[in-house]
Amino acid sequence: MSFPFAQSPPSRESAEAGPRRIALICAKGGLDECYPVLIMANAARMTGIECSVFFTFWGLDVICEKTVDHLNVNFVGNPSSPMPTMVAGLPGMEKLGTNFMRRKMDELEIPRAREMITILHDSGCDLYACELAMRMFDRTDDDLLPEIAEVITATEFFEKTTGADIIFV
Amino acid sequence: MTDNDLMARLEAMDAKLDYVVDRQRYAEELVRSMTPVAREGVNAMAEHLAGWEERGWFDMGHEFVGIFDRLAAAYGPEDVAELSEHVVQLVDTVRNLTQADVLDLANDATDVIHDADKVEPVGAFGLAKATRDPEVQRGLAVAIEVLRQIGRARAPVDGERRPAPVRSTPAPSAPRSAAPSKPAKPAKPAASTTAAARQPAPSPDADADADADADLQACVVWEGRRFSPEGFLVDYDQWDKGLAAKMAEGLGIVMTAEHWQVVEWVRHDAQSIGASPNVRRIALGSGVGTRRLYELFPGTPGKSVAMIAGVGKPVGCV
Repeated sequence: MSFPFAQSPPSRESAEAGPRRIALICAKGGLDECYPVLIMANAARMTGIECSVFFTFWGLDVICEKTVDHLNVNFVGNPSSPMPTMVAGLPGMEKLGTNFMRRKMDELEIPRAREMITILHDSGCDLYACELAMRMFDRTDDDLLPEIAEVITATEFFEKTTGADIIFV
Repeated sequence: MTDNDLMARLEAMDAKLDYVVDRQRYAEELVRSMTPVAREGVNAMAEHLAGWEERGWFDMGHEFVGIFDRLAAAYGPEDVAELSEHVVQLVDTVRNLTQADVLDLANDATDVIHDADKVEPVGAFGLAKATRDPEVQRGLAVAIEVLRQIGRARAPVDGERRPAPVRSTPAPSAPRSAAPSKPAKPAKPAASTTAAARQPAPSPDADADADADADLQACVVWEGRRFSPEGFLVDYDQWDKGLAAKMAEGLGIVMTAEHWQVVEWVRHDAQSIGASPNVRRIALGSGVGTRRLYELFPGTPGKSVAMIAGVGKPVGCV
């Protein structure tokens, strides 16, 4: 009798076969705003789910060489923020919050954004940059991290991820 | 029977008869002498009863009987038993209620209600303004305290109504329930969680014991060894290379030297930190890197390696 626990990745419930696929859209560049995307994409890959991530607008900060190590947490306008908006807007508060969050993530052994991008790339996750956002923010291909597969339009992204569950973060 | 005997008996009977006659005479004398006294007593009694009658005591008694009838109809014996249990509390409450200050307060309150026509209507602004009055403030504080007591008294009742939360029991749940909600410190990542997941060791906690028993029952036996329902070897020490190769074959993996390198490293690491390593840790620690790890163990590298290496299911998202 063979091993009774064959590792079948979760497949779609319908008969139209193929492995399960998800497509994440990352449109924000806050430290706290990009991690849900990175962590979920990685979790999907570890579970055997095919995954693509589309970085657009402020999300470009997560995949650009100059900015990826300087992502910040912004407490202003965040109703879940631990400090009142009036205080959160004071100079230095952003830095304070960012440092606090970084320290917390280091404690939990959560990799920095740059390493997360590398892990995602190595695990077979397709990472794309938005072509329009690149032009809007005056970024060139040279600004991007080497892990980024391609600069594509939104249309192309949807074509590439046919059949995937789309998740906008 | 001789004549002498007969005579003796007759004499005895005669003596008894004399005694009875004496008693009878005494009794008659007693009745004769007591009659005026008894007559006085009856008269007095009749007067008293007439007096009571005049004052309406009998009518009232009649009404009381009616009340008892109604009480008996409305309450059963068990109600009375319950009441008797709480009678001390009841008396305490009544005593507290009848303290002079409480009665004064009630009296003052009724005075206010009698004079209710004189007060001005108050809106939200007036309410806020009124709370600046120290007396109102003190009254509010008392009212809040009373509300708090009512809330406290209600709490257990609500608790009884709510069904007890049912704890889900996934495969390695026994240790998970005991594990801290916060992941452990970097030196031992979630050590307590998976260490115990690997071996559902007997724990002093009876609850955890019960969970562990449930886990054991849910176990699947394959090749003479127990596996968790998800397919992870329960006992770390029952692992051998032959078993690993068979499991790998079942997962569609052909073991190479590189595979063995990863598996051996995972076994070593799991034993040293007491927890099944996550994918990132395996990729960095075993030296093969993320990309190669996904190639060696396609699909679900973390789970596949943990299965083949005979360690628990890895936790964490990285």
